[in-house]
Amino acid sequence: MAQQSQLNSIFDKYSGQEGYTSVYITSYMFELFSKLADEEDFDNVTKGLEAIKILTANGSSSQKKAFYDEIDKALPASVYKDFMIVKDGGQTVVFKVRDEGDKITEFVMIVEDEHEPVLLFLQGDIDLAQVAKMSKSMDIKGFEHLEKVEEK
Amino acid sequence: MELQKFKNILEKYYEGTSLIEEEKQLKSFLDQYSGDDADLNEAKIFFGIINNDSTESVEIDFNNITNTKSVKKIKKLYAVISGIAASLIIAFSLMFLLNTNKTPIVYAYIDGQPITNKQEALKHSQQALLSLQSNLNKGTNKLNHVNKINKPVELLTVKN
Repeated sequence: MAQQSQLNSIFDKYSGQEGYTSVYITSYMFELFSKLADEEDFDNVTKGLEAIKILTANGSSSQKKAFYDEIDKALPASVYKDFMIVKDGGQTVVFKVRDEGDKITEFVMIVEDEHEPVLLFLQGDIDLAQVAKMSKSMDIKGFEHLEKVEEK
Repeated sequence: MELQKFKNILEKYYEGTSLIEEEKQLKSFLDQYSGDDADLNEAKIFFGIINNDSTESVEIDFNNITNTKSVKKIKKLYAVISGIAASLIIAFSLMFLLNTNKTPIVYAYIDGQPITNKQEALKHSQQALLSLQSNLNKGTNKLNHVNKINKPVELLTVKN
């Protein structure tokens, strides 16, 4: 049996806590994206997604250090493989993936920044090629027409 | 003479002074009598009714009465239970439908709080995805430098 993701536990633990900001985008949002976006690539990325979760720490230095340590423990190398590491100035961005068989079930981004560390992870059936394509263009056309979407 | 004799016995019977033997004789006489005397014909009917009443048997089929009553009771009970069950099903269905209609769609959670407003959820979603995009771009854009390897490879190829 696959190891349970500890990222959800970390997210639930700090969500709503002082010094942390959490954002959890549900699958209903992705369905809305599909209705609005003209980008086929965007639709291809989001159709397999179950959730996108973002957690940022904006408290004290010790709080941020504890935050990094906890994330590090939650991402054992045996389960999460390095995808890409980008160092830009004082900031390091680490991308990791978790696969189960042929499927990528988690795509994790950790921004190591002294001002605002960020943990972002995608969960579901993730197509890495589509995620990479999405990075080329994110001008999501149609969002300005949101108000025209009829309430059902 | 005989006629008058039995009429006297009849009178004694009505008065309650007749003997049992006299009553038997009178009854026996009346069973065979077919004359026109009104008193004797009336007595004949009277004695006939009493006799029929004494020998008539009443047949009551208790089983039928019991079964009929039981079946009616069961049918009534079944109808009541069916009515209650149908009412409950309708009530629960309505409650379910009303609750379903009332439950708003949660597009996102911000600091644990549900966001049902599309515009607000969209704003946060865009920020999140743009953050992902910009950081991915930092890495993938640098991969363009890999193309520079092609030049020396081309040169080497031509040389050979």
